Amino acid sequence: MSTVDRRPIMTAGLTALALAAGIGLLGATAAQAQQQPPIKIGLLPPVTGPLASPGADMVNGFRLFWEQANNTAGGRKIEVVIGDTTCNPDQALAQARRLVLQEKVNILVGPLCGHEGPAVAQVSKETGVPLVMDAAGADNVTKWDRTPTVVRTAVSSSQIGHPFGEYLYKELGLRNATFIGADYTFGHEVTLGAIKTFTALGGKVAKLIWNPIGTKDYGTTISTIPADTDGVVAVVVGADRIRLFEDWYNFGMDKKLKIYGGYWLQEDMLSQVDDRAVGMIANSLHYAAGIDTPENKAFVDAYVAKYKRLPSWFSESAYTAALWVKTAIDSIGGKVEDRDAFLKAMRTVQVKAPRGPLKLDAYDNPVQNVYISKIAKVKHPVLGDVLVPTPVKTYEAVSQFWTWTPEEFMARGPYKR
Amino acid sequence: MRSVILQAINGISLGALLFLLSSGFTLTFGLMRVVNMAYGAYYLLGGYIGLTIARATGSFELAIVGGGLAVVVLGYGVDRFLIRPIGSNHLAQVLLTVGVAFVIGEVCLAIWGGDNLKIPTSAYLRGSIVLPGELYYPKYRFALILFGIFAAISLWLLYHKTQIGAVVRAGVDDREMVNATGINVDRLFVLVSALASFFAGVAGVVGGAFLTLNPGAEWDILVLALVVVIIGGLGSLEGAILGSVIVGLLDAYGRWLLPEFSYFVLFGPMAVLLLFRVTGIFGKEH
Repeated sequence: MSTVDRRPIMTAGLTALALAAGIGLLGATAAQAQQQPPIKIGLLPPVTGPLASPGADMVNGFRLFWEQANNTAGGRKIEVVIGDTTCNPDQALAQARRLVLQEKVNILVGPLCGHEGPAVAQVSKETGVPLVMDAAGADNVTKWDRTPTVVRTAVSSSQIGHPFGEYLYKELGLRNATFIGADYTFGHEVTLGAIKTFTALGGKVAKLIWNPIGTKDYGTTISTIPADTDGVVAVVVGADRIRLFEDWYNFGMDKKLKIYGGYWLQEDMLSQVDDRAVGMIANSLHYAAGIDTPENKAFVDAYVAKYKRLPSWFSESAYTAALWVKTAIDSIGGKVEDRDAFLKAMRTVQVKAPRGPLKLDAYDNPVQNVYISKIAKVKHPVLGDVLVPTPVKTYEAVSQFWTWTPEEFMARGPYKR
Repeated sequence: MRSVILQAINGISLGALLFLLSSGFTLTFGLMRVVNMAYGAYYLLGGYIGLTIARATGSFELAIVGGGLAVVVLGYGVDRFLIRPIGSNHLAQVLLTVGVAFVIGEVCLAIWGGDNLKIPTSAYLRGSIVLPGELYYPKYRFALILFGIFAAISLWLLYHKTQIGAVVRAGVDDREMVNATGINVDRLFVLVSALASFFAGVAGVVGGAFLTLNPGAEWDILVLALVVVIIGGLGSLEGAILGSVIVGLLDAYGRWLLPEFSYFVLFGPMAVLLLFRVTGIFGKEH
């Protein structure tokens, strides 16, 4: 045991701290008088790991916007700091804390992976730093488990499922459908959302097959599809998307049945499939690169010019998150230190995004168009012949609660397998 | 009945792929007691290099050979300069080779990006065969089964009917005695390790053509290969053959009959087997 008297050391330490704090304050006011400090935004994409590719799309979309906006909002400079979440909730939590505590960001944007969402929301709750939730889709975040400092600018998983159930019944005429769903929260919410509206109209589920993510072999799944079904619906993610596509043809299923993508053929994987995909129903999503509006055309052109590939919904989502944040910051004259004012602005402004007009509902989730898209082959001036998901039907201003009242939906509870 | 047959072929074709990867893993362990967790990463890297070759030359066969050979060079470097200096400490080997796998994975991500990439195959391997009873089955998978059988027979002959094989088997049983008879076991190990790396690289190319390549694929496949060698018995070639078929079939029938429990169907029997036979079916005490 040491017997050194620690009091002098502590006193000295405290004095130093107080001095440092004082100087810090002085410094801040002096700087503000001349020029306002930059606004720091922490972005939380998976830069490495299994979802590195969507993560890159997210970073690219975000950077493209700020480049176009000259890296300024509300008269202040914007500084983007990236924390790599690796698509792992622990890592997302650690990175979000680092961005808040060490980098002192004013706003967090992200994450991408659904199961990281609640982890990052937790950091926002603890520290009060506003979180603009990007692609992470968990229904919970804007329904049963809301955080006052969190707003979502992308999508709630089941929001894209509901219109598809109706489309299957009314437009495609399915009555006895087989669903192949990815066996995790996002897959459950999208698939069961579609089944809910499909069966409400009178459709029957011939079979519901849950496949773990990373299923090697869709031959097994395909051979269990009942013979009397009149169509197959796919909600698959990641590498499974290509495996299902190839196996569908390899097992001769294209000669027997039709398959429709609820969430399947997206921009990032279309270069890996060939012309067989042309004409297929690709997705029921809030974005498709083929949306025919001036806003989207300008976005796609700029994106392709810079990155030499089509934007995916992850690109658009991050781009729009940035647009939304800038609109909000502009409307409060750059005073992001007033967190309540910033959040209020996020909740009240309306934006015209590449994917269409957007505003938040009372539960902090965007009301937006959902597009049923088909694959079209397009001659692109930069990319040559490319397959592009192109909307064939637009469900306008879709709420996360579809046609139910929020109270009905909330009373029913989350979609669970 | 149709499904029973279809699932059997599905299972065996996956088993053929798993054999390519696990045979190398099990033989290097048998001979040198080296646990190399980087085989999954060898698979991925071999696949990516094969992809680049296939895109450049249009030849799938060249891609298989090239992917395999590239991994031989890498595997030699890892064995010679990383694994050998740390000696026979299994824990250190596992940590080191897992680290190597992470490095390879990140390098692949930096070079080939994070998209799911599919290796283009030759035209004669595309499409499907129609079996009696309107049963469609992909040609590629049949070819894969044949390739797996061919590889298994060649390895078995090499192992049991040649002098090199005899020395390797002797080395597995008693390394010191083989050394004492004047045979350089270290040099022998270079040969076996090269063969093992070659098979892992080849597995990456043939696997990448139907499972696609993407970051993380190395761990997906490594887990299955580990189950194969644990069931079959570490260090046994026969064990790798039998284990691959068992794991392939369990995977196929499990996901057909009990889709909700597909992972349990795979790992459950492994746990039960380990309770009664710690060394796996063909394994020996080491």
